Amino acid sequence: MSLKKLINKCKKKDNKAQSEIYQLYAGKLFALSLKYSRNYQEAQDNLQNGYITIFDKIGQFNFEGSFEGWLKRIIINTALQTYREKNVLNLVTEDIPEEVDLEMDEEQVSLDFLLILIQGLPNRYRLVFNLYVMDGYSHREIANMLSISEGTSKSNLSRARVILRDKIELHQSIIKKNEAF
Amino acid sequence: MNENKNIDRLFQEKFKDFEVFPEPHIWRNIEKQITKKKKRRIIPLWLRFGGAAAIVLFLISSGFWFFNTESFNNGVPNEIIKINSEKNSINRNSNNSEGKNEKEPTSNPIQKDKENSSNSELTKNSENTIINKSESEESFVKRDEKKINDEVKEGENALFVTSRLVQEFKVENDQKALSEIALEEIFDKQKSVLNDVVAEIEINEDKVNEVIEDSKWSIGSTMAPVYYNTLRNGSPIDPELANNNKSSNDNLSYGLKVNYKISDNLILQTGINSLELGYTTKNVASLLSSSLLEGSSTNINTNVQGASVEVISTARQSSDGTIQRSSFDPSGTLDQTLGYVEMPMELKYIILQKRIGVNVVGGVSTYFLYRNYVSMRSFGKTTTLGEASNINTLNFSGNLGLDLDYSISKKLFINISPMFKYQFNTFSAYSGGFQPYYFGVYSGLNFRF
Repeated sequence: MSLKKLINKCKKKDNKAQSEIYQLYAGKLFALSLKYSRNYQEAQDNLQNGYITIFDKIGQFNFEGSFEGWLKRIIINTALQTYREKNVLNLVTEDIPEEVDLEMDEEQVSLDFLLILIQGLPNRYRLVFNLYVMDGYSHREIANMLSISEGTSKSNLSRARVILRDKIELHQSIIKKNEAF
Repeated sequence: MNENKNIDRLFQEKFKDFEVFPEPHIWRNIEKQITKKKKRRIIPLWLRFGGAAAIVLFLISSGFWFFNTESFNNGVPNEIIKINSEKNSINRNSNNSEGKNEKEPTSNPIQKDKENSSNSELTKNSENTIINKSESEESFVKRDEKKINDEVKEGENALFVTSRLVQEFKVENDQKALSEIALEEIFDKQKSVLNDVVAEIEINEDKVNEVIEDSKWSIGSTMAPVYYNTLRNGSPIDPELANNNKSSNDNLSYGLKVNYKISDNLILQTGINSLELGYTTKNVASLLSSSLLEGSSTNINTNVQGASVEVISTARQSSDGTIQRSSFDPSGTLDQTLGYVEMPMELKYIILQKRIGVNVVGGVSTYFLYRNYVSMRSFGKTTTLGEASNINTLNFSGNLGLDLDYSISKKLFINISPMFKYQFNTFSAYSGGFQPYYFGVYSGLNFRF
């Protein structure tokens, strides 16, 4: 069955089609949720709420642009909504910190470790970093989405990078020490 | 900048194909939520149905109630008449005890009897002093006590009936209240069941529609009563019969049809039908001569060797009054029967293709003549005269009609198709201006695959 047919069936609230659409994108969208959330539990909640919105609003999808892109936007918006509601985005640090080179061996850094680093970032740093680096939004778009200035978006991104770099370096130094023994 | 790229690239590459499957209970939660929403969406519709059902039930129950109160009303007037015919004291008495009865409808009748009699004695005492001044109190009491007791009993009877009715009425009201609660419960249960059923039906409907849209082939039987007639008067058998009354016989066409969907809105339809057309000309007499008649215009080849047939209109003869010989049956009829194998080739334009399908049909049919005979019915006997000599073995028709489908299941559908078929090339020679057409309502059971 074509994707279009499946979507049309979802518009008619066909349970089987909804299940198929869920299965088709659950992997990617849960991964997305994990990046935007602070932990596994939050990511699960986000995925769940996002999918409910998806099936609620699927009638509005008019086959312009990719369906996957549309799904991702909903999942991201669900995440943004969560932190907007929690009013945790009021970090104000406009100054852009100095950045230094990162020296590392990519092979030594695992995906799980990086995910933990992302999830460990303060809420707004995490959101800005994900939106800009992982999902390709511009600072102007991010500023709009988070109701902050472009400058704040840029500074948040830099701070996020600094935190991530520091933690990766720390991690690597520990690994090196361990190797030395 | 370089460093930015570095850290960004690290994350981008690591997370490029990042996929994590959530635990199965997530879907169950989502499913629960979205079906709840769906139900909420459907309920108003069912409330409307529920409302309609409630009105119907209300009407029925009020009908029952009315029916029951009918007997109530029937009973009461009698009691009223009885009570009215009583003396005032009794009337008052009964009013008193009625009040009591209403308060304690279950109280013991004997006990009530006592109460009532003592009651009546009290009233009686006060009344007696007014009405019967001359009589001694004692004698009145003795004489009247019996009478009053009888009256009291009668009144009591009336009261029993009334109280019982009141009780029944109460019980009825209680039952009504109970049944309303029960009905509501049933409604609630039904509602949720119906919602599920509706959801299922909707899904099934979609599935059915999908199969209907997707299947390319269908095959089915057709059967049609056919009405055969001519657009212009005239007789293909003999110009002599041009003005005679003619009528179509009960004709039947049956066969098989095959449909192939060639595009989203076009279906090619073909098949094979057997078609028998009968046509009767009234007021005809026939002559069988031993030699070829000079100037015979009858288009019948007889199977009697060396003979020829001529038909004459008895209608004309009798009106002329020239031939009134008894050898003719003035009401003799001539029956012409033509049997064809029909092969239609039609295009159907799809207007609607769901559970109910609507198509417009147009096309041509080719006919092969396989049966051709003319018979005469006179004096209650039927004799075959021979075959019509001017019928082509191959002829055609232009077809136009409607085609309606109703799907009983995914695979099976009923088809009804009223068709008008205009024949041409029917006659090889003289047709007497006879332009045949026929109209049939074809119906049948079809199978799609």
